[in-house]
Amino acid sequence: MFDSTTGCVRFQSSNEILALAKSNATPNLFVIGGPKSLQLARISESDITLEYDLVMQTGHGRNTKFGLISDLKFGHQTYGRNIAASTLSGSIHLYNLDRGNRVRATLSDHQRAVNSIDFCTVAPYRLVSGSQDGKMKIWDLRMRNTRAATTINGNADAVRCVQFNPRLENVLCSIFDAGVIQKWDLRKPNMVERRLNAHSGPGLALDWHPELDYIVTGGRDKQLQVWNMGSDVEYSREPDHVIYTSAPIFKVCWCRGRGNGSVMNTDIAACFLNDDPCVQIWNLNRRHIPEHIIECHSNQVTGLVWKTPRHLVSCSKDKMLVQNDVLREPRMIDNMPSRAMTWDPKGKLGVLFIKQAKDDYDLHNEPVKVSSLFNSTSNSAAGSINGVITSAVGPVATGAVTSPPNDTLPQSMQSAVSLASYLNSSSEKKIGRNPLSSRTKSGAVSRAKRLIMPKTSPFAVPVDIPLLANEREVFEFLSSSYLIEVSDGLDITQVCEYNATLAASAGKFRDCQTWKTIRFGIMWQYDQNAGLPQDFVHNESHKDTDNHSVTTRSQSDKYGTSLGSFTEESVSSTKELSASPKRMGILSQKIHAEKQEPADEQRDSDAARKEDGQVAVSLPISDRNEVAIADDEEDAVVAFDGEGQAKPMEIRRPSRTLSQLSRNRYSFTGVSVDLDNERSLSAGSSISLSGSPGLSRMFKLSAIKADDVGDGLKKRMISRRESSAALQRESSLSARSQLTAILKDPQHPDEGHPNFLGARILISENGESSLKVPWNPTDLIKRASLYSAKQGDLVLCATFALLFRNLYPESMTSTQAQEWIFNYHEVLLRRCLFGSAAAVLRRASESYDVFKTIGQTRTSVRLFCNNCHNLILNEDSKNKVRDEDPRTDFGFWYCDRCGKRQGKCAYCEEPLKGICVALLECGHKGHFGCFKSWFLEEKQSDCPACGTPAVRQ
Amino acid sequence: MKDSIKPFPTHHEDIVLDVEYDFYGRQLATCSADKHIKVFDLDPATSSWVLNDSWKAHDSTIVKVGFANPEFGHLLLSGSYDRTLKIWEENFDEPLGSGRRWSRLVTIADSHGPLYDCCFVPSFLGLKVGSIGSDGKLRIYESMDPADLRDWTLLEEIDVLKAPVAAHLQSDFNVCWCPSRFSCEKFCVSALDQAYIYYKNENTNKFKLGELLPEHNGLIRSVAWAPLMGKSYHLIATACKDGYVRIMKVVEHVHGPGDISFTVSLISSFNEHVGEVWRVSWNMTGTILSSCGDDGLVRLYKSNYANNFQCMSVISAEGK
Repeated sequence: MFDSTTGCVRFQSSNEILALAKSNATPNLFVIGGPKSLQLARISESDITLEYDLVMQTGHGRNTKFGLISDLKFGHQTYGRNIAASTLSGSIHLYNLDRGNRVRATLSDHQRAVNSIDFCTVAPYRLVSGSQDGKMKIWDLRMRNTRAATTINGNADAVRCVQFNPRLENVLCSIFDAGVIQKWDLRKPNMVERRLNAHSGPGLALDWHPELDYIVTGGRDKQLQVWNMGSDVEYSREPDHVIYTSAPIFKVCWCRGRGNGSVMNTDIAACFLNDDPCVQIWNLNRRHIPEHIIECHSNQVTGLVWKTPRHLVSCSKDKMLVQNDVLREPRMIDNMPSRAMTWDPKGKLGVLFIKQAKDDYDLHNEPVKVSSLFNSTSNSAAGSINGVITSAVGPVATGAVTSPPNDTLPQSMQSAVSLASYLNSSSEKKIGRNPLSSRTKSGAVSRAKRLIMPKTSPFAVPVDIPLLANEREVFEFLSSSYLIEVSDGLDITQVCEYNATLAASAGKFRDCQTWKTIRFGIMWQYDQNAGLPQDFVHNESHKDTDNHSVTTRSQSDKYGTSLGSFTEESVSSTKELSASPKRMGILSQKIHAEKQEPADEQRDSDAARKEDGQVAVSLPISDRNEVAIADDEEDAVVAFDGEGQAKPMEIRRPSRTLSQLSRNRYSFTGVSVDLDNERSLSAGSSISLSGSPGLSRMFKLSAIKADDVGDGLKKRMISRRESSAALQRESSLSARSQLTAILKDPQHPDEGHPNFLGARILISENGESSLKVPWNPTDLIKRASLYSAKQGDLVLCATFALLFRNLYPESMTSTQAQEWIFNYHEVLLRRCLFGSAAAVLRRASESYDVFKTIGQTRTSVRLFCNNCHNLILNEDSKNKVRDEDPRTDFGFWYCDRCGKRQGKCAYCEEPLKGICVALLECGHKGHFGCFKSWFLEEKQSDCPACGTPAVRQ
Repeated sequence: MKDSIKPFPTHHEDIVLDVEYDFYGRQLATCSADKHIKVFDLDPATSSWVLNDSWKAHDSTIVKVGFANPEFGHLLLSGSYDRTLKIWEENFDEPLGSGRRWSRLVTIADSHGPLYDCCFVPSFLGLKVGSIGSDGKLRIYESMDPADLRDWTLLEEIDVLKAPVAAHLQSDFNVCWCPSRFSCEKFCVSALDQAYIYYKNENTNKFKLGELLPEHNGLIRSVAWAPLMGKSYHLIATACKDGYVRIMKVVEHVHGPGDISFTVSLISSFNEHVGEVWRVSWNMTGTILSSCGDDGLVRLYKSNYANNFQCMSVISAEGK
């Protein structure tokens, strides 16, 4: 089977394939060995054909004796037509292809299974075999007898793999079950030349580099190690290179003929012992990501041979023989992202991404270790960039003693790449270039030292996206300050007004306008309700304002007052925002002038408070203005900072009174003036623009109201419609122009929300008694909350949801409200604003069970007994108490198991309840009275329980 | 901004594949092809990231890290090409930078191929982990007992791919849960060049294949499900090897309990990245989509008033 797109050739054999060898004499000729078969196969570019069957022939007598094949090798040169096959039964069969399928000789000197055999390249008559019995035997094929010429006793360990140095006749390396690598010289068969404790588990595979004196070994410890086995190098106890792979390595193989001048450029193919039937091709330049992963088998890969520099042949227990064109395989790195990125989790607009270049790593792990050879050769070239390159190829040069010509080519090839990357890293260039420093390093070669930092370590780059909504302080301020429920003594319009002021003081002028617009809408509605017959009012208000206690009580006169006071407030606030401090005096006069209308108690107190506020605020403002002239910007920042820091953890209590609120408000408006100075003129101007329509609208409304009280319904409707048209025009001119722009856009996505006209018709179809006007609060809230949700302004839309969902159920769906609140709550938690989060949760749990559950489950605290260290469950006494009275609140102030009380007062050992005093040093708690008598009356300075000094002098 | 943080080197020895903040944004975890996870702590005094620990977590390239919601503990999830999913917990007794600071709670090795994506399921669904690997199976695990985080049970195994992946193919798999608390559990999973929406049938409590996301002409590199934020439709963004960032609008039709259908339509696609797009992600509120691609740039997309997404800005790491 040939796949032209990948260049992969597959062949299905009739048996499992356990071993594979390539002929050194005949190109494309391979031998494959199975459990009871030995076959010759011819592998061309696009085809695999079975040539000849050496064993599997009917009536073949030796079949029964033939064990499982463990290794296969072709001979070299004059023995090029010879095949050696080792078996697990401990024998080695020799075939000569020129003499057909007859076994030429059987060498059976090993006591146990033969794991590995190899022909010597230089002395082709030599065959080495390594066995499970721990012996390596050298056979001389010229001899007729079947005794080994030499026997090497490694140690008791099984020999897993043995191989001749491809360029020397007497040198061989073997790897053992203990992970030890041994190097032997056949002339001294009694003494090991070199012994390395390489792998921490069984060593399984070994391969000599085809041109350099390096070996690569693989073991159960999942490491590929590259060792310099040259005879002239100082012996190192650490491998030159280590690649940590993902699985125990079964076979390993250097690429032959490609990049062989340097170990760094030579690919290493490896297959694994586990259930991962893939072949990985590694390059030392990149030791964390394999170059290719070839998955072409469905069972364990048993043999790997490079047919040509680009063709890799592998065989497997799945009976497949596969040839892959490595160069056409996809590169592993191409499947990996070049960037990683994440959003800031706190809801702030910030991303963090990783700056890296995928291919920058190719040379980064070139060892800084410089061998003695480098020192001698590069001294001449030191100081120039050439020196750098030489140092990069340092280990190659050491190994290249035997074949110096090979060393030149890769150097020049590398120079282009390495030059660029080395130039980028001046510090490392110095290390490489300075022979002195490198010499000191080469003395003690530790692996840690050689693992230098990558040239371009991936940089993490946090980015803040500069949007106004992005500021942490604004979020913290608003989230902690916005009123999210209608507390006692306030009604919804006051809450809106207050929130509007907050928004303005935080620089969110658009939000401020939104709040105000909603407020006017609500006021208009109250106004309507107030004018209607009493029973209708009740219907309406019950429908619209479910549990809004303020609206239902004493409506008509309440509205009168609140309306009046709000007119005033809005005047003051809007003017404050736009007006310069100089005009403050005039303003307050104006306010006083407006206050001439009949006033009830509330009004009076309101006004008085306002005066206080004015006095309090006008001074700092003028002060600050002077400062602001000097250093406008800095002052603004500082002032605002203080605000942001002071506020976040503050939770608004529902019991807070209006006077407190207004005090707060004024302190904020001061800031807002400052912000005005500092920031966009347009924001300020938009306020002054919108201020006047707001006012006029206000007066108009009150005028309408006055008329309406006596008049009939019809007349009012007409006038209202007229005014609605006028208002619509006005509002489109002023701050809501953005919103109206959206509304006018026919493609606007909020399909569920028809434009004004549609809304009106829709409502009237629903049988509502009155037509719907554009500024009815339901519509306004709906649009405002959707808009803010779309802008990602969680504070605003969640606050809307918390405030208005119960009052105006039509304005948003329950899911929407929950979604917003839920997200808002999460963001608050993320920002560690736990106070606000708890307030939101408590408020939301009034309406939604989901949040109740969250509040109950997520906030549970587990108590462990401080005596017996067990979880306090107290089930027994709980059941007992509950049986007697199911309503009893049950405590965990004692432990059922050991009968000890928990959290006792350190002084009197009585349980603590409610507020208590804790000592910061040791954490012991006590009653206030107890500690008082201990520390003050008895004049003690140490903790009564543990003696830790608690009072500092 | 005042508290902006300078770029800092991660000192990974190979490319970083994923980076993730913890819930509070005070820790940052990176995972790399060098088999290491690094965790950085934000030093509030200097606004800089300080290495908390770096340790060899897997035997192969680590593709994903993720922090669990803190209500479940200080947990870190990692998934790797070595087929395993590991869950780590910070051990505050161990010194910083010791390599032992994060202790492994559990190793889950059910996959028959490299894992490509894993994530903690949104916290309101419980302490669950979803993972998908090259065997094309989406697996969902749950830790039932909060007292024993070492015990994870396989809840679901969904064959996303009907047939196993063809051998030489480059592949990519992703999974992304719908972050909305108030609709039924849904997730979007991509396998190679197909992306599907699965939803949980509330009657049978099994996941059902909902809809296929259309128009992809290459491996899907990343999927991201936008927070719903009260919208009447869902948005799913995908990054594709064909160079396009696509934003899909998914409208959910609930016909009855357990009977849901989806209509998917492509609302925007961008191919401004030269070359592959690797990652898309939404910000917390689902208003801005970011994408990064082979050109090394991060692009941000935001919808305008007409609800068309537009490229808002391009962030480049070049310069200093």
